[in-house]
Amino acid sequence: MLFKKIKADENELLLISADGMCNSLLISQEIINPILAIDLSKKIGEQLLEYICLKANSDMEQKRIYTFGEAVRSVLSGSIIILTDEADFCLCFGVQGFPKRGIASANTEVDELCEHEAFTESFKDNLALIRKRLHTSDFKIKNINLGSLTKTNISVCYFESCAKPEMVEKIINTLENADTRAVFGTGNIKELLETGFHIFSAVGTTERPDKACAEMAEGRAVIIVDGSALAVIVPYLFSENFQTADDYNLRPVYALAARIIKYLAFFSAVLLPGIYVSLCTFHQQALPENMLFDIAVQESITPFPVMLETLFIHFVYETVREAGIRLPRAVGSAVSIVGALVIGEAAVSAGLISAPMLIVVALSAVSSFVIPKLYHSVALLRFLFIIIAGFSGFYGITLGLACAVCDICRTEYYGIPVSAPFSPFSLSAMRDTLIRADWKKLGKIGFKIQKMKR
Amino acid sequence: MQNRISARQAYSLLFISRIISLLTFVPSLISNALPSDYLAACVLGAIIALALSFPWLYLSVKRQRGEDLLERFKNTKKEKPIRFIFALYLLFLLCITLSRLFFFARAVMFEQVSTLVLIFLTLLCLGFVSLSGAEPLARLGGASAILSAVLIVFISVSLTGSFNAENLMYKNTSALPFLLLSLSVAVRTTEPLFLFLLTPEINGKLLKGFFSWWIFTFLASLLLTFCLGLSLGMSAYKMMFPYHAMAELSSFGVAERMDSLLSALWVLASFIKAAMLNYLLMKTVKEIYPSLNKKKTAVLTLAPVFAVCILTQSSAEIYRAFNLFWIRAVLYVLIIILFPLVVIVTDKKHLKRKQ
Repeated sequence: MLFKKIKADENELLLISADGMCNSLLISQEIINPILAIDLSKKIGEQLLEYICLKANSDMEQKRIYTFGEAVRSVLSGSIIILTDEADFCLCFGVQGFPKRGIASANTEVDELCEHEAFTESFKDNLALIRKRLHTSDFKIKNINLGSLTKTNISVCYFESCAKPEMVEKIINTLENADTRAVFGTGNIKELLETGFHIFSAVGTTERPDKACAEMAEGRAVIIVDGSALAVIVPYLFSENFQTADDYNLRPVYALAARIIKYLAFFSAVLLPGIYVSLCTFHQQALPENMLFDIAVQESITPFPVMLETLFIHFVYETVREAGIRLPRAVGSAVSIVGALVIGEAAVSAGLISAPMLIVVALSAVSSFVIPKLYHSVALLRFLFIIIAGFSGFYGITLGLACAVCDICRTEYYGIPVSAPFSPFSLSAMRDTLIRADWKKLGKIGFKIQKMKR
Repeated sequence: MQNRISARQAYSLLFISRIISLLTFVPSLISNALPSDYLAACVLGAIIALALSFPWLYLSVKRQRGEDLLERFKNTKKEKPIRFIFALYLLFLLCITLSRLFFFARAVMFEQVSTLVLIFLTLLCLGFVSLSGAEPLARLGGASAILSAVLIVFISVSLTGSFNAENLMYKNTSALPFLLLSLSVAVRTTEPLFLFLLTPEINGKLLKGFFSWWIFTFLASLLLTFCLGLSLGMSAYKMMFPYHAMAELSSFGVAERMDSLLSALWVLASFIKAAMLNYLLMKTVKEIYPSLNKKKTAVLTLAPVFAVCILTQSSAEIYRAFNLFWIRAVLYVLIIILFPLVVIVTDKKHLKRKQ
């Protein structure tokens, strides 16, 4: 903590800031120099601070602070405070200068044809990235400090005319009443907002400011967390996982094709290995004769039952994937090559797994990358379906699918079911769900999340 | 979850229930009527079922308007026995639905799988879906009803290659088998009771949806029966699962043997019907014992189902005894026809006395 006393005329001022959190050049050029340059004689206490406030550089953020707690929080957030005798408040100037990452391209939501800007770990920059896109007073921000230990800054952003006041109030209440010690990122906030365990979440995230703005325009709330490069979106429908920013920059017919591919990829990622296990174990009659013969020849040389074989190869795949993600990028790609070529090829040559099995695993893995936001849910479901299929074939897959659909149908967020607009069905919402209608229609109607309420 | 469903979703559940009743129907077990008779029996049976549905429909509409005629029994000595009878009937229907599903799964889909695994897995899923409440169940039912309708049309279209008009030319001279078959179709229509029990959860007009539901189920069953008669003819009456055998003949382009599609529909429809029955059973048990929590109620309802399913799958005699036509017929007459009629008549008398 840095304490600096300065004497201007006959007055003494105390400047307090946190070491490493402030921009020293800004402090000397924009605060100390102007204070020393102005005539402060005959001004004492509150009058003095008012005068400094008036005469000092007004470009930077400045506010009056009346409580000790708020003063401490401001200093620790990178502001500088100015105190003097006989004043009920202190002045606070936003002179943040802590090290931060610059605005970079999106990493997890890569899109070809749209903006590349992504959120960073800087709270103020993230708010600015949103604000610069919305030139309207309708855009509102509610600030909260969360975590008894960390006092993390959180902003709930929404459009006053689009978001339902009850929903916003409920979100704010949930966050304010949350009994949590520390908040370090969006993960903590997501779990605070979720209710019960569901396979698919009703709370989404994005690292794209343009997407965050679009979501707010549809009546959702976006939550920015200090120190996180992701924004939380509530409520988040299941169908939104199949929408990308590129869909809106492609011509409608291509966007429709891309959506169909995404839905098919989802089913392929979840069900393909399970269906393969079912076909090989119980329902051989459903395969064409030639294919059945080929698969039977391949499977006859492997030592394990098909279910164990599938589980084993998926376990290997998930391990290689996890290693590839955690290691430095250069080594990570090497691990992928080792995993793909050495383990896969060697396992087939050694007769540990069959070649069709490798094709099924590769196809389901590639399919799961088409909808990256659902990767973890898809991986979990895939393992479940493999086990169910190994014990009860198509029968079990049908029951499992019914339960998964039921779980999606029972997930809701403040009265808005995650399964909407499929169920409850909304024909008008289909314009941007199964298909992507042209902008002439989409722009005119304007989708609102509240319409999805049953 | 508000646990409110639309009338359309409720009728989707009832549509699924009717479809599975049709698919599991084995006409040869009831009478020796011919394919052409069965088609006519479907029409007559549906009309009889419609007529016999009116008492429960009347009670359901009244209940939705806030004039529940069964409310009179509330806090009286009769309340618990009535609810207990409903619970037993629902339990009976649930056991029949599941035992038929397991029988089908083991006989047609795979013989080598353990019965215990099948029963355990199904009851686990059943518990999960029933505990989720009416809303997710109805949404699942809605999606499945659309899927079922599409599958029925698709299978029917893909069967056109195996149609033989001569199959429907045989005529029966005796009226008794035909009447018996018609009555057996009607006796399987227990959905009006389900509608009454679901009424507190339903938003929207019951009466309008009821006739649409009846027309749709009638058309779907007529279409399937027509395809059955045309494709299999007399041989349909020598099979345990005639509709499944019919699907085995279907082909569409390079795709052959649509029986896997029908099997999936069969399993899904049976499961949804069983989940609906279990939900209603849980609701009824909860009304008898209000202190029970949701999970305990689920265990209480699924435990006897588990025992009955094990018994019916271990012995063919028990399975047959459980599926006897006359048991269903007697219960149908008592619960679906007589009970609501008695309630309506006593209510009218009560009103007259008041006036």
